Amino acid sequence: MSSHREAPEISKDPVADSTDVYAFVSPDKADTVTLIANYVPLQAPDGGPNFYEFGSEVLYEIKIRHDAAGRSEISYQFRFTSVLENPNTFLYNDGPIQIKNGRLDTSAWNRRQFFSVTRVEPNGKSTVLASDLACPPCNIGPLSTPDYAASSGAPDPLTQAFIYELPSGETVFAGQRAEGFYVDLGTVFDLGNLRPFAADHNTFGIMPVLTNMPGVNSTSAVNVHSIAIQVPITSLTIDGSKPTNYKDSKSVLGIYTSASRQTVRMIDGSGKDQFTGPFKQVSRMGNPLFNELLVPISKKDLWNALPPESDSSFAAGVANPELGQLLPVLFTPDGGSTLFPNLAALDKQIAAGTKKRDDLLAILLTGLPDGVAGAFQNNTGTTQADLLRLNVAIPPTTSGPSNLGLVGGDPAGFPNGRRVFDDVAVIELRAVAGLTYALVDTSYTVDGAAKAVYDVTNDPKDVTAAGSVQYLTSFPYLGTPHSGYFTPETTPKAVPPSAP
Amino acid sequence: MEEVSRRMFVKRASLGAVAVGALAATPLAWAETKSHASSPEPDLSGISGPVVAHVRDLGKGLVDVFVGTRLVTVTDRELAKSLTRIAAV
Repeated sequence: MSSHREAPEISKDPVADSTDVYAFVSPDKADTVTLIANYVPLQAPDGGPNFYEFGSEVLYEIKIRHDAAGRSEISYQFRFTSVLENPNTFLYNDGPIQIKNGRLDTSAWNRRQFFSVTRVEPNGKSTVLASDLACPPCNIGPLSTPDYAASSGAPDPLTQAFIYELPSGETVFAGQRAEGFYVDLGTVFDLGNLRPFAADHNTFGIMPVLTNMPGVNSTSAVNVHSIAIQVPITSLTIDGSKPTNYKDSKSVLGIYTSASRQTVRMIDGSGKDQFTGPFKQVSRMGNPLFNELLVPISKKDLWNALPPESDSSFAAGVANPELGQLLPVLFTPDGGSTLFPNLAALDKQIAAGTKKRDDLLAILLTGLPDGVAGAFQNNTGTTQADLLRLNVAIPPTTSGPSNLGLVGGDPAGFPNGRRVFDDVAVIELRAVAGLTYALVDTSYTVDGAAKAVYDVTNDPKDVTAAGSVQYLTSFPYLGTPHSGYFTPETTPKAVPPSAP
Repeated sequence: MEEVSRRMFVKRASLGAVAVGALAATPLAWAETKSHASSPEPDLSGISGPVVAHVRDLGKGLVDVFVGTRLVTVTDRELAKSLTRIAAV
């Protein structure tokens, strides 16, 4: 997945597992950047009675760098506190959590979370921007959380009640959302047996050749926990400016998220663990799928613990991606020829050491210089670091955006930051398949399959993942969390008729 | 038996933290002084929550002391030996 359970150790610590980071110039507030960091992956919406929450002992951070090495870095830190209102019930809530007369009645809500927001400046100065902000409840069902309502526009009333505008200019939200990352997981991990290309897949003689089928969004009914913050661009650039020229080096921000835990945990037998010592990073994320796809399994947890400026030590996996070597083999139908002959030839040259994937090295580790992909750049120099690089001088695409982002002719999308609907699985799959190699080697002929391969949706203008995801048009952009009551989605929807 | 050892461990670790406070304040004096008793008694009122010591390298006498959100590393062969002796009980 993007970065869900991507490393052996962090897969056992879901509250600290960075799953996705989004960074984009807000389409409805173009003088701001929206940053979203997701944690706690693959939540079954009906997973009670202890519904999902952030880790009270985890330090969550969204970091914005002005250079790849991190010499100048702003950090937004988020800390959570859990409160038990009634210790004598086994329930998350023992009545409706409902808006009445314009106010949220929380009297029946037992297990709650509150959070603080701290901003750390490049000079180390730390300012608490807000504290004791409440997180919304999880979406239990129409009796418990009746004000959650499916929406593809503005946030539902319950979500709206937990969006805070801070005196310092930021808007912030922290709580459960519908998963926004979409991918056909079942096929990806079954040796890349993508349903739309099943007839061309190698079956290794195990089963009959399949017929092509529509893709499936495996994450269409799971939730995630999001920390979302919308920040004026002038509060993020190194000099407080709002760049308008994409060539301006100050227009590029390098973004990543992290989760850290204190060094020592003591299980003292009381049921309440104790923690002490300095915080150590246990998870991070910049570009989607970086750790997942390009770092060997033996080093994934090490990668999570290191700062981005250490990523030159992982560049070999980018210069010669394992998936790039596998694709020609996997997509060789029984008795037929590979769908990726040119990639196979390139792979041989890479294996021989005569070529390397300079396209991927640039996209993921240094940013693209101006001119390589038209009038665009998000380059941060020669230091290799996995950062989501956002050029804030490029305005949002408000009409007909492409879910393929830059490779779809839409410079407001990935790898220029990342929007919630960007089809990053397909973009990176096609890039690894050779689509972007032609940017750095004009003599290279891209395989037809590298332009066509997909898993869920084949429509670049589709911003719904083939109708499986409802994003919002305004903050926090990720959709209303899926309801526990209506899980699985085939649950009879007899009452109430208007429920999600 | 295990519980007694743990208490002693934490008690000794607290001593380690005290020693480090002196080290930070007067490094030269500490380098010349092996006895905890000869260091000035620091203010312990700011210490709350668990104090945990980790003998990182017995041979070099490296002891990491975790307190609050801080890590203090002490180089003290006697302290490292003392803690390890407790572990051997």
